[in-house]
Amino acid sequence: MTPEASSTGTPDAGPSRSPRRVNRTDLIAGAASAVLGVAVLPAAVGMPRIAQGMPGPGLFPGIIGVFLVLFGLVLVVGALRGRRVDVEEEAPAVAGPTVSTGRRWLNGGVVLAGIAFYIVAAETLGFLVTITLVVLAVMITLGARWWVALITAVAVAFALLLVFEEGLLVQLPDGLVG
Amino acid sequence: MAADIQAGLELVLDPTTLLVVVLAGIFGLFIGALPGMTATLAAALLIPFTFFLDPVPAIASIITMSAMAIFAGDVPGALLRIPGTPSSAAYTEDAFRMTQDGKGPVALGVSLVASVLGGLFGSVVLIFVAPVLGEFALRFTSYEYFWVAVLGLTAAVIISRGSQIKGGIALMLGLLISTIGLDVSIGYPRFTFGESELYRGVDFIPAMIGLFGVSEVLRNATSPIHLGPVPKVSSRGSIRESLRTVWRYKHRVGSGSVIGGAVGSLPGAGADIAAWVSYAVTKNTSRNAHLFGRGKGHPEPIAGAAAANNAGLGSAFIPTLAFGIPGDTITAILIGVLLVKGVTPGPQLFTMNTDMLYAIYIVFIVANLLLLPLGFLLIRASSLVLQVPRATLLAIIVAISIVGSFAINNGYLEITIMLLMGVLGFLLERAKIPLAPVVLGIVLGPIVERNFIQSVIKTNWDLGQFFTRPISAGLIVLTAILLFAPPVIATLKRRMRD
Repeated sequence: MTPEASSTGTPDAGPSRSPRRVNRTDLIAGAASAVLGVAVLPAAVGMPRIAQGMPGPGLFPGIIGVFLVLFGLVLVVGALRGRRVDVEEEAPAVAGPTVSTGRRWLNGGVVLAGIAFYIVAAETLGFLVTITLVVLAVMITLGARWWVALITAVAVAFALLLVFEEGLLVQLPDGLVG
Repeated sequence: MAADIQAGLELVLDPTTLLVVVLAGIFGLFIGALPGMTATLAAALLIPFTFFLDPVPAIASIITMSAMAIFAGDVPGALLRIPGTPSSAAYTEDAFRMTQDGKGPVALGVSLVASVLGGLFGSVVLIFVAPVLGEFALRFTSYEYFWVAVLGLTAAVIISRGSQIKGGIALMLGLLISTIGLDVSIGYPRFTFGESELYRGVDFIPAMIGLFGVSEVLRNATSPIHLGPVPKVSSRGSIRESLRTVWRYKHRVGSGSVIGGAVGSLPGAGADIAAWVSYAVTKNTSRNAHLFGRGKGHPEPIAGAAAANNAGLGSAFIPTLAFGIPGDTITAILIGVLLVKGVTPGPQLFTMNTDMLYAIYIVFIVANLLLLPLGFLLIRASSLVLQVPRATLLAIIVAISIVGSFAINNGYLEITIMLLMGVLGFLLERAKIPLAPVVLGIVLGPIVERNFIQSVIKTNWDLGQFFTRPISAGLIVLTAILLFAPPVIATLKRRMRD
């Protein structure tokens, strides 16, 4: 969802003080909650019972599912009626230049991809190499100079190795190179 | 009693514990002072380390770190108008305007001294109130524990800022996550998707690192705003002026401390809500109210609210210690850590682990006293701390999060859980759904369910027992009051306005 999209909606709805708009964020959040609830319910009903028809493992997930649907629908209805649920209180910060939307998504994507990369590659490449690559990638994406990033990445990798393997006695993956 | 205090002192004055306290304090000051990095994030990054410590230093590190971080959050608030932690948001406007007027160090000095005084007051409240409630809680059976946990969950939703429906959704998500794994009644695997490693449930520690560590990194990395230049501050002569100002508004520090002590003890209401309430009270009762948040800013609301947020930290431990019900996000994390270490917080602490109990009390006092010198050093170095490059910081947090999650169990499932929870936390924040009820749901979910199932199995599904026992009935009435308070107050307000 883009910020531009969230500002669209019915521009005028009666004589209220502020123009009412469909709150897109609330609409999506409410719908997601309701869908999750609907998905949980059949699983909860399908769970075995303790004895003589007494509910057991499925009881709590069932109750949670019902509430997820209920709260989700209330949020959806509120969003469609254009009620402003939240009051913005944040004061504008002392800001420098702003960052483009595409760049922001890339930044977030690299952070997630970095963590995912560690999960799949650490066992083969070993802790030192993998974590160095992750820190390097995140720093360069966020605008650090490449040599600063390289020095920091290597230093962080060795510092963490020292703290966790020597200090806390955690066996970090050695990999094929270590 | 004297023997307990001595045993407690011995636990705290252990060199390892002292070293941990000082390091955790510096860490808390540093993270708290960085704009947008919260005390909860600092707690999440601390957990993997506490996992390897004894219970007392583990608790001590979290207490000290949070006391420091809550004060340090005022620094970027005053200098950049970006509160470092949510609890500083109430008076950011006043502190920032004072900085523009050249009085930044005084604003921070007032906040620091008020924080220390408020923090000490909160510790005293904790020391006197917790044992009384704890003794009362010794009479609890599974029925009462069920209702106390329900009360905690209700409070988490009602008190959460913003929309209560969103608070409810957040709570249900937390509860749903807590049902993953083998169930308590017959050991049936729920929502494990055939993954046998999930049978023991979602590990609390990687979940917290994801929810608060990774999601904060994502929020920062995708933030549309770059920080502007950091103003230079000269702190010459500011200590004396800060002390004078605090003395002038000593009754505000007092009322702020009392408000913090009261609000903080409510489950679900933490330091930030205490600060907002204190700010509102000061504004409604002060002759200088027309000067607050405009013009050159005013130190009066800072004195009250800064005392309130640190006092709230101490009193948030009251329900934590007495019932094992967290008072806010940080105590929820702490309860999770204690459970992992095999310590069950609750009334047993008051009869069996009294040395640990007294150690916790002493840590609170030590942490607040330590805040005074370290806090003044931070004010001096504030411009420097704010210039730490963002890319380096976020990358290091990512690396610590990965290794920290892995270290808990030497497994990659934990990192995966952290990743997923990070995305969840990020999405929830974008939808303005509060994260605190999620944590409370994860921590309290198993307590609610276990006590409910135990109770119904004991009585063969005689649900009447839940309502007819006197303490249970009292807790139900409290829960009902809490549920119906907001609409009633809203109606009363409307009537009064008309």
